[in-house]
Amino acid sequence: MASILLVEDDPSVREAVGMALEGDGHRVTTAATGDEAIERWRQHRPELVLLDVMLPGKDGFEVCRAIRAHDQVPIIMLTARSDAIDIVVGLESGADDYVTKPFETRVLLARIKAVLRRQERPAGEPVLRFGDLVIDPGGMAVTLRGVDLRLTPTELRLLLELARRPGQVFTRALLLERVWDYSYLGDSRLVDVCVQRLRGKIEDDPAHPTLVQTVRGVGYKLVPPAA
Amino acid sequence: MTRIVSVSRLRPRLVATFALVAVLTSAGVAVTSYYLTRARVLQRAETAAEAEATAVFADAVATLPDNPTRPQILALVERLKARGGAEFDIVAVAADGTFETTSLSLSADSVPGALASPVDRSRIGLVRATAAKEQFVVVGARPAGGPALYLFFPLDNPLDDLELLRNVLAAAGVAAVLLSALVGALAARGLLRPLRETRNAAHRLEVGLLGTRLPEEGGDEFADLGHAFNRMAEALEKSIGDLRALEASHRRFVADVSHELRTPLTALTTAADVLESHRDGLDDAGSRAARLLVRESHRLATLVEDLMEISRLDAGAAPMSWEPVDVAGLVGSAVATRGWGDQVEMRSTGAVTTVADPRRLDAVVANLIGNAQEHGRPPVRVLVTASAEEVVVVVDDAGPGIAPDHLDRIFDRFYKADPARPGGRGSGLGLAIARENARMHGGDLTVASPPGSGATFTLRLPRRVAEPLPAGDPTVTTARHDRVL
Repeated sequence: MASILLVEDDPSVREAVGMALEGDGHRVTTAATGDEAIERWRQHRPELVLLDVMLPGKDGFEVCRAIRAHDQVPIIMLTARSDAIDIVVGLESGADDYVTKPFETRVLLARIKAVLRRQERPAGEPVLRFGDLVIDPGGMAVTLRGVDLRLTPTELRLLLELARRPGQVFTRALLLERVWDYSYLGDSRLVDVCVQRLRGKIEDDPAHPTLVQTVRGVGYKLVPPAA
Repeated sequence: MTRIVSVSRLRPRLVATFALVAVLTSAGVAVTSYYLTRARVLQRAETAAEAEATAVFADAVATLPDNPTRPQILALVERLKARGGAEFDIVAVAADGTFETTSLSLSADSVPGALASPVDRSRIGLVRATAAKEQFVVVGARPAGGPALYLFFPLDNPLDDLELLRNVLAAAGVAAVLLSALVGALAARGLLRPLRETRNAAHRLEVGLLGTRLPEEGGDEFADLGHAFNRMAEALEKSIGDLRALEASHRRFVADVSHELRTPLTALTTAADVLESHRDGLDDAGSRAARLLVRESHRLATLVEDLMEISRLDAGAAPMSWEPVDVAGLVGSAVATRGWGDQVEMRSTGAVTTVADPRRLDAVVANLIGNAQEHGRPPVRVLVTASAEEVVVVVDDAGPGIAPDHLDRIFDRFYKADPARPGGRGSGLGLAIARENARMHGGDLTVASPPGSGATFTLRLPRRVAEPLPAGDPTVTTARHDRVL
């Protein structure tokens, strides 16, 4: 299925989750510390990273930022706290999704599946242009004035979802369902933080976005620039 | 508010008291001194008049011939009047009633009747009287064989002096009253200022500004009060600080416990799930043990999760995530997601929108329906209704209901209505958490068990069009925070 880097300092959790992942058909590499995680990521270039937040040495947020600086690999945070801060900081560090401990194995496997699915290239979709912004769904590439923006698969899927129907308002619930595969009561902070990260990459002034606009109390919409 | 009003009434009361004391004191002093002075002044006038009159009478006796004629009498009175010394007028009344006088306004009729008796008995009589609208000291005597002589000493001068004195006293009295009222007002201000400061300080403490202190200047009772107040505030600040520190350490403890428990639980539940997926390779006992392990490890996970949740709710650390929610739709999804569609009858009056935390609401609804399925009997019914003010979700079942003595305690933590029955899937915290969640929304969760029907849980939520305003005033937050402690 996929090669997964599992970063977890607790040996029992590492072993059990490793077994569960292998049982689902994945190839698993493990790391116990932040530094080891970065090294393993360099060596193996996994297709997905499962990253515990509480790590000795470099914590999960730092590891996440370090990997994100070079790679758009999907990252799922494992957090032992459902506290708002951990989750928001994790998402802002570049994580694509999160799972709180103790999680049910089927939930973790479903999240992994959903994140991996975002990397699949949509076939036969036309290239979309919004001013200087060019979205190539087939090539999984977004460029702004010719420069590759290196969007993560989640960011790209979110942008694509909005870009397919410019001007239409998407509720957070709908985006959670379409992009994250949450059919019921997903965490709307996933959408909010991902929109922030997306704006940071595609907007000229992310504090005053013109392309991806917030519709207060409803959701988001993509507004094509006036020709 | 009534207390504040009574404080502001202290000023007129003090002013009135001071003024009243001034009125009584100055009136007493004025009346006493006026009448004492008046008595002395009149006494002196009478004594002077008597002395003068005695001399005049002696003169008259010496110079008046026997049986004087009217011209002789007239000559006498004119001479006597001109004799110098005190100023007076004379009325001489002869035995036949005729009279001579030195004044145009006086006559025999002016003579006071009180003098008739002493004068008739050949003695000197003295009396104060009013004649021709003026006050006189009248001294009368009848020299042997002559007319009765009445000397009218006017009292204008001493009476004018007394009137002046009276006016001065009255003016001084009025001035004293005004001055006292002013002093009263000033004293009231001096009194009220620290009083008001104390009241304001108490109010600031009340809203949570625990650093509030009063000035302790001077050595008066207010400094004393300030000192006592400040000691109280310090003690309060310290206690609340201690409690907050305790609460913070409690929260840290909860967070630590949370992490410490969740990590082994993650290993446990995941390993159990792996075991479950390999059950086909196990013998019968191993397979049953695996199933037990899976079920219990997940139950343990639920229990820990619920414990964490109730700790967060207790600590006021549970964040609300307000969103527009269609309650009827949410209940439908909560039922459908859990695969309860064919066991639960749901009715609603169409979409019922409000602003709430959908995850908390889902947890409450799922808890109530789950309980009804586990402890009650089908059909489990859910009714969602709404008015302009509130959204009401009623969950009931066709079971035997809940005995009245259990109803009060059903929301207690770890309370089991039937101790003999083994604990179900729940943690024993579900209803406690559900009620807290309802209250976090500003609503409530209640239970009733009418005779002849099952348990009926009623969730009431205020209907909102927007997220409740966060407590912008930090003092309000503090006050609420203190209540949580």
